[in-house]
This record gives sequence, structure tokens and C-alpha cells, in this order.
Amino acid sequence: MKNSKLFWLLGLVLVLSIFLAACGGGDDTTDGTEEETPEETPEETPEDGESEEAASGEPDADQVLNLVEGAEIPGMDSATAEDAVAFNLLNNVNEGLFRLNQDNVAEPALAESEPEVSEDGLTYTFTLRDANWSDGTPITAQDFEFAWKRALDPEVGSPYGPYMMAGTIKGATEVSEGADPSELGVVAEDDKTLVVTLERPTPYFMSLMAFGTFYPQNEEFVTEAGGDYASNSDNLLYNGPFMLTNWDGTGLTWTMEKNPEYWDADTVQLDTINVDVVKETSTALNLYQSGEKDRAGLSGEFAMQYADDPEVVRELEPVLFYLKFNQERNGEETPLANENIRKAISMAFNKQDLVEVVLANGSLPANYLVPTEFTFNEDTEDFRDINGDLTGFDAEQAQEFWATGLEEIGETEVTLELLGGDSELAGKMDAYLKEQMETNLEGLTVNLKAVPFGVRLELDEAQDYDMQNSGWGPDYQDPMTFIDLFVTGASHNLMSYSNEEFDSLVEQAKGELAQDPAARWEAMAEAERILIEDDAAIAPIYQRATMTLQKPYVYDIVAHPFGGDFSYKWAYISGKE
Amino acid sequence: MARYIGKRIIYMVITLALIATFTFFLMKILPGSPIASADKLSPEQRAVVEARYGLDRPLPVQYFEYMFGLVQGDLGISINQFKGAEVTDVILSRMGPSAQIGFQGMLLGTAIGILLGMIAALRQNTWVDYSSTIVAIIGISIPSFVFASMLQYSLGLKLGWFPVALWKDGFMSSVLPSIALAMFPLATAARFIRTEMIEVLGSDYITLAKAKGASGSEIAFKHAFRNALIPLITVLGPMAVAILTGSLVVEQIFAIPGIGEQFVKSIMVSDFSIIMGTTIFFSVFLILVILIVDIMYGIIDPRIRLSGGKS
Repeated sequence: MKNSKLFWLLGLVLVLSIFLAACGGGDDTTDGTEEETPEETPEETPEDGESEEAASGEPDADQVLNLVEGAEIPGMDSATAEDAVAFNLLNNVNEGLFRLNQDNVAEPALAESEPEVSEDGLTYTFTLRDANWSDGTPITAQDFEFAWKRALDPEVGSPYGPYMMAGTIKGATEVSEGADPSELGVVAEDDKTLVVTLERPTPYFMSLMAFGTFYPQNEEFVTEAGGDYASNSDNLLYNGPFMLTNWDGTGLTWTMEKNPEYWDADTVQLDTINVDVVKETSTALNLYQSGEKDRAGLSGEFAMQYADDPEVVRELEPVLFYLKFNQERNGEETPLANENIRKAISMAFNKQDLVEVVLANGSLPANYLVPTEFTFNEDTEDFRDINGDLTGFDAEQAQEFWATGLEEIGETEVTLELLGGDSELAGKMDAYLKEQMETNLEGLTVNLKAVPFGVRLELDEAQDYDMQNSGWGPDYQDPMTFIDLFVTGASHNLMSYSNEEFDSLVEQAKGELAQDPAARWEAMAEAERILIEDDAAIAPIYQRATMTLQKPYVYDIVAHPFGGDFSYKWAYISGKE
Repeated sequence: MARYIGKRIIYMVITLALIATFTFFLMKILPGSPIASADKLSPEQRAVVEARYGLDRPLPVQYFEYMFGLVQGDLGISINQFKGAEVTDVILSRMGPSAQIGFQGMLLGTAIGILLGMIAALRQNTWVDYSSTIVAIIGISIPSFVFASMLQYSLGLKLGWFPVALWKDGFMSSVLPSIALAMFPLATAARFIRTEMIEVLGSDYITLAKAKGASGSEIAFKHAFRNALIPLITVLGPMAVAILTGSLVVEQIFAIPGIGEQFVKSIMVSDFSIIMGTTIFFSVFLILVILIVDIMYGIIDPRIRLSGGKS
């Protein structure tokens, strides 16, 4: 009897103690920011993850980086890859003819040097450097020809192959629809020479060569592996700074190890990168705090909570959010067909407060279309510097435009629908926009409509909305990826915007100016100015940034605006005890 | 008995077919395409990619093809979550961790729950009883993912007794997720056992046992507990459901490579084949649990008529 009593008591105590510990712990969650992390405060915090000057100490003997990733690898076949996780990995375990360097300018990688370009800008002749696959076989020009044709093969069904190549490489559209692959303008003249023929001059072609879809594949290896190709880390060949190991194809964990066969292996300092998929932000933060992980992304409310933490790194992304003004809905003109109404609305909300208070994740207020820190010319000057700000918050001026606009359309009251996403953040942002617009513009009523992403795309396609909170990320490293969205009849216009001058500038930039980089930039800048300053066809809102906690002993992870998100090629660990 | 089981199995198959049909069409109504970059492609390019995965055929054709494959045990291939991987392989490779934490959670929950329930019943209306009731209420009303987060922060990060997350330290990695999942079974079992025990303790044969001079612990364990245990079997079904649904979030919070967390992702990315495969797998599991519970119940307590009133 005595024993059993003791037993009961013990069980009870055990259970209760779990609750007490758990409850106690829960209360502390909000104090997370103030807690000291065991690491020393760094003398210099690497800003932007791009800065090289942060490199202070000597690299440690132990070069291991521990990372979290937000999702599984859907597949590692460079021909069919279409998601951020795969492109990021491909950028680190494989390589194309070019690679984005620390300044985000494409520089020769597997190509020995800059290619020879024919005078009409249509033929590129690349010479390959001596480099090997991870199994020791040499990388040849045939590997490129094979991989690119594979990416276009309808049997393979790659979305990105046709998307990246059609309209750029000669014959790509036809081949992707089933024509004879030999019609493709890609020919391996010998083992070291690759000749690419384009459909039209493409000034940003070099940066495309750094994109995963254009990586080489070894035909013999791919054919031999058959259906198992790229299904796990053993069924792949690598030619980049690292090799993927320990990936079973469906698991939540993988490792990158330094590739001894890499042609530039001397530059690579990290020996091992351990990656685990952690989908919960709070879990990633706990792993970061416990020292198991060296980086943790901060999303939503966590960004605000950690904003002042010395270990926070802000990474600006080339992703722009803007309001689309639909000028014609269901065959009828909307009030937004009036230029003054559009101008009024685009100036009627305070973007600074929006990014600081509502978003609070380091995003920048945007008064432009082409993101800042995205494209650079040969002298590493930012495209953004040409135009600077093209609009801005100005309540008084907005009211003037508003009064004129109302008069012109003969109304005193206007009701508009604002279509947006259904996430918490999107909801907060749209509510803020509504409040700002209605306060600053008398007689305006904004109705919010929050829908899932798929539904928003459908409504967009049917042009069934008034205003839409929309975002765009680049497909190639050139201002054109943003600008040609709004050409008359473009598949992303879907708001009946049309301006001949704008169209002709875009046409020129794509055509006769293609080989004159300076004039081409000017034309695109002018087009951007017309779109926003003259026509207020869209109202830019903000350029997205992300905040990430990064241990102070991690140096030189390079963030890229295009292709893979990061390069670990130059990264190293210094000062981790 | 055999007839009863046979009948139940036929019902099971019908249920399963209905679930598969329902899920299939419901899924197709969902907005969004399984082709991740569908919005970037021209209609022609899109048609080529859709043809690759058989998405271009009329819906009824897709349906019958799927059901035909299903009967042969073919669950198709993943479209975008694990491009080209066999759905069966995906489920098999993810089953282990889910089964482990589910089983451990169930075991731990029922064991402690029974213990708590017994203490409460034997010490009815004392502080012991009240605290056990409080534990039961907390266990039922607070969802498992809240427990999971609390456990991770307190026992994992602050005290460092167990790994914060990830599936790397064998059994130790499974402790916290198992405890998080155990909460519902624990609370249910405690509540149930307490009620049953009190009822049993008041019955005539307990009075007889007392009169016979049996000791207190003998009465509690040999007579009361045994009989109170039988009805517990009926709640095993709901418990299994709770563990399963709980695993969806708990696995995600602890970053465990299980079926649950993978299922959530497949819905987000509209990977039809994975959604179908996992739903069917979960359904089979639950239907089996319910069948086993019913059969066990009949065996343990012959008073329950299995053949539904006839015979």
C-alpha cells in the first residue's frame, strides 16, 4: 500500500512538473530578444551578407556551416528545376558558363573567358576551361548541348526550359513544341567550343548563363541513371564548389561537402555545410539560439521582435510590390481609366509608415518599378540611379489630382475594389492602404477583397478587379524583366494599360538598341518614367527585404538577386570557439 | 464473427472508395495548379507540361485511371513536391518517424492517463482528484502544437534536456514530440478511467470483495481496474485520430521527416498524387484502427452483439 502511494505521487509529480516547466517556458518567449547569446559581440556585423570588408579574422580550422532551409528539395535535375530551394542548391553544387560574383555581376566560370560575340550580337562562341565533374570526367561543350536540349524536350516536360530559352535561343520555341532538337541554335563544335545562336540580341545573355537551367549535364551519366537520375545525391554529378551528399530524395536533411574536383577549389574555404529543413520560423529560431544553426530567417512578427538584435542581417530582394490599376473591367471603363484618379491614388498612401510599422521587415518604400541593387552596368552603377524616385507620398498633391479627376469623370464619389492576398501580412497591409486612401481622398470608398494566390491569378487573368496588390520578382538580371510586363497586350498587363511611346521604347531596347548598352538603359529608364511618372499606370508600394539572424562568426555568404539566392563559395567561419 | 468481419471489410472498401472519389474531385476544385510556374508559361508550353503529367485529359478519364491504378496498388508519381518520385516510396520513406512518435505518444498518454484516472477515482474529491481533473481538462483543451512549442522552448532550448528539434539523436529526438502527442490520449484516458472506476467501485461485486476481506490494493487493481479498462478500448479510435491530426503540426514544429508534415506541404503545392496517396493511407489506417477496436471490443465483452441485432 505504501509503495503504491509513492508510485502515484511520483507519477503525479512527474506530470505536473512537465506542465510547470512548459508553462514557465512559455512565458519567457517574448523576452527572447533580450537574452544574451553565448557568442561574443562581433566587432563588425556583416551587412547585407554581401560585404567583403567584414572579413576580419583568420578562418578557423573547423569550417562547418549549419543552415536551415524552408522546404524540401523537389528535385535536383537542373533541366526541370523551378523552385528557389533547387536553384539555390544548384548554384552551389553546380556551375554554368558564368557565375554571379560577390558584386552580383556575371563573370566567366566554366567558360574560360568572355565569349566571342558576332557583330550582329546573335552568335556567341564560348571556350570552356579545363574542368572536371565530381567523378573525374572532363566537362565538355557536348554536356551543355545535351542539357539544354533536354530542358526543351516535351517528354521531359520542364517548365523552365521553354520559359528561359524560348524567344532567346534560336529554335527553342519550336523544339519545345516537338521539332527536331537539331534545329536548336546550340552546337558543340568540339570538346571545348560551344556556339550559341540567338533569336534576337540579348544584352543580358551572360547573366542567363549563371542560371540553373543553363547548367551542363553529362549525357552518359544521365542516360545510365535513367529514371533514377537526380533522385538522390548519389545519382547526380557535381561541378560546383560543393558536392551534395546524404540526400535521400524525400528527406529533410542533406549535406554539402567541398568538391575537390572544382576548378576553383582553392577559393572555397568551407568543408561542410549541413542543411536541415525547418518549416516553422519559431523552431528555426530555437535552433539558432541553441547554437545548432548559424542562420535563421525572421518572418512576420519575428522580424519586428528581433529588429534591434545585433545579429540581424538585412537582405534586400529584387522583388517589387505595386498596385495594378485596372482601366477596363468586364468591357467597361473603370474610374481608374482616368489618369488623374490614378495619380491621386498612387500618391495617397504613406509608404514610409507602411514599411516601418506594418511590414517592419526591413523592406524599402518604392517609388519606382525596377528594384534597387538589382542590375548594374559595366562600371557597377545601379540602374536605379538613372531615374531615382518617380512618384511619392504627397497627400496635398493627391487631393488636387483627385479633385480634377472627379470633375473629369463627373462623379463625386468613387467606390473601388482592392484585390489582395489572404495572408495575415497581406490583410494588414491592404487594410492600411484602404485607411490611408479613404482618409486622404474624400469620396473614395475602398472595398477589400482577400483571396488565395491561385484565385487572385484567376481574377487577374479574367481582368476582374479594380486595384490589385501585386508583386514581381525577376526572371533574368535585366531591367527589362520588370519593364516589359506592361507593354500593350503583354500577358501580365491585364489592366488595359496602353501607351504607344512606352511600347516603342521597349521595342527599341529589345531591337535596335540591344547592342548599345548605354542607349538601351536610357530607353528603358525613359519607359519606366513614362509608366510611373507620366501615366501612373501602377502605384509602386515597396521593395521586399528579409531579415535573418546570422552568427557573427559567419562571413561572406553572398546573396544574389537572381538565380540561386546565395553563394557559399566565398563563405568562411572565423572566431567560433 | 467471421461473417461480421467480412461484412465490415466490405464496408471498409466502400468507405475507402468514397473517400478516394470525394478527395479526388474536391482536390480538382481547389484553385491553383500543381505546376509551380504555370503562370509563367505560354498556353502552348503549359499544355506540354500538363500532358507530361496526364493533367490534360478529361476529368472522368483521370479519375478512372487513378482508381484503376489504386486497385493495383499504384498511387502514381509526385508532380512537384518530389518530382517524379513514386508516391508509395515517399509514404514508405516517411512512415518510420511518424509511426514511432505516434506509438510512443499513444503508449505514454494512455499509461499516465490510466494512472491519473485511477488515483483520482480512488481518492475521489480530494486535491489529488481535482489536480488530475485539471490536468485532464488542460490536456483536452490545449492543442498539441501549443504543447509542442512549449516543450521545445522549455525542455529543449532552456533546460537542454532534449534536442530542440530535428531527427538526429535517435530516441532522444522522439521524446518531446511523443510527449506533445501524448497529451490528448492522456487526458482522455484519465477522464474515462476515473468515471468507470467510480462506477465499478460502487457495484455489488466490489462490496462482496470487501466483505471477503480483500485488501484495498487488491480490490483496486484486480477487480475495479480490470473492469474499468474494458470501455477504454472504445476511445482508442478517437485517440488514434487525435494522434494522427496532431502529428501534422507536431512533426512540422520538431522538423521530423514524417508523413504528417509532408502532407501539409503537398496540399500547399497542390501535388495531387501526393495528396491522394496520403489521404488514402491515413484513411486506411483509421478504418483499420476502428475495425480492430470493434473486434477487440466484441472479444473482450461478449455482451456486445456484433452481428447487429440479428442471428
